[in-house]
Amino acid sequence: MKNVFQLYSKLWPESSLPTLKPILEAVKVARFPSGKDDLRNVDHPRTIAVVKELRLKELMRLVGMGFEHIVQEDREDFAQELLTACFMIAQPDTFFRNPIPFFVNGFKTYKAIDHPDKHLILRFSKPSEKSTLLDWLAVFLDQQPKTNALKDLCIQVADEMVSNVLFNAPTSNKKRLFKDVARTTDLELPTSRRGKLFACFADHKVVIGCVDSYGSLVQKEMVEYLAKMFNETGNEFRPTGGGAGLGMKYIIENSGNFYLLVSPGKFTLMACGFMLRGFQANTNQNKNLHLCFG
Amino acid sequence: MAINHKFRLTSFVEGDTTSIAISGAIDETAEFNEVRNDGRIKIDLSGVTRMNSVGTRAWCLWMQRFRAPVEVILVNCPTIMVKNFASIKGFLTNRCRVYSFEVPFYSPETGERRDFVATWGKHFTASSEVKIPPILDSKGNQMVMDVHPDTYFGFLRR
Repeated sequence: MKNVFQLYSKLWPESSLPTLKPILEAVKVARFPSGKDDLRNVDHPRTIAVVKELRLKELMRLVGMGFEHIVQEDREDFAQELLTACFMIAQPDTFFRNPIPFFVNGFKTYKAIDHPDKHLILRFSKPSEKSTLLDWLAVFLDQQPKTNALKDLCIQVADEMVSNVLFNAPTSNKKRLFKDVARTTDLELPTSRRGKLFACFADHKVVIGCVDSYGSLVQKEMVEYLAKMFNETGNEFRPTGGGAGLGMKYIIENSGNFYLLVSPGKFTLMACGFMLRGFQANTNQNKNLHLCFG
Repeated sequence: MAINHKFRLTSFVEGDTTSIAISGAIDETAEFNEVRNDGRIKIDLSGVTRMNSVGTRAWCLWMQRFRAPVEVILVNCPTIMVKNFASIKGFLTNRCRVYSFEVPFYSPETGERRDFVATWGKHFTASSEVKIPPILDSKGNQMVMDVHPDTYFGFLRR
């Protein structure tokens, strides 16, 4: 099985290759649906699934096989997403220590956040703050007229992510804090558990994400949940309990790129990338997925 | 501009028709009151600004309360709701008829979005495909329909 450098080094300028080479060489590629690659003994967490025209249902099958990064070769952001996946695999410690700058800086280099008009970071601890958060996000998005076509998608995703952070969802852990607490409850997270909502413009897209301080999502459970969600022809809502069981569907269906990083017991970062090319460019089925469970 | 988050449901009865207007966010704050369960229920959704998963559940549970012979007519359905009409069981029940709904258009040239309201009998019927006249952006360029028709209009084939 070949590595990213062997197959795709031409995607990046020659001048940047000396820096990128060790990162690109450390990550293998399995291509789908070509069938050219020998999939025996695949080290799934260190292998990127590069796919062409696979729908969400098929992507979830790859997630079920153990792949954590699935990147669409036909998309215009292929080089960028491939590099993102390589960074996440090859430099997990740097990435996990402080992931937000990677999104804010468009995965170019690790540098200080120095464009205040291009990013937004808000902290929150109460459901009653959600309306204000979404208003701030809407104002931030209004800076870029191209977000007008997808603003409702972005707001819906942010809404779901903020709720997930506040109510420590979605996980079936019976002992978890706020399990089955009505979403109308105006709880307040302690200062040490405050959530973060961030948004940034980077390379023809906007990234919106949330960070919690639980790190409670479990890979097996999440994979089963997503497989069920996207295998069914019609999704059913959960009639009782805290959430309706549809939040992740909205988050993934609305966005072009989905990123999930779980550092068990420490934090969860969930983020979505939206291409600044209208509604369908994001809601179509050929998505880039990154799901890392630390 | 600030989003209108405040869920509001107003209704009035005229003959055998109950007209309801919903505005703001259909989310965890949404409270769908008891509505007369006979005749025709006309629900105008043009004021809905956002909807989340908990609001979706509240909506589906509300729809389940309407039983035959009630007829629920949905008017001016926003894109954020229409995109889930076909994919979430119970979003539209067999008592629901969609009279009009938004179809988003996008201009690759200017990045503008416009929502065209498709109306029953004018732009679609139960048996035909949706026919929408050309939509132009502010510079006169023809805009493209910004949804996949098979998926987005899937609810019409129910």
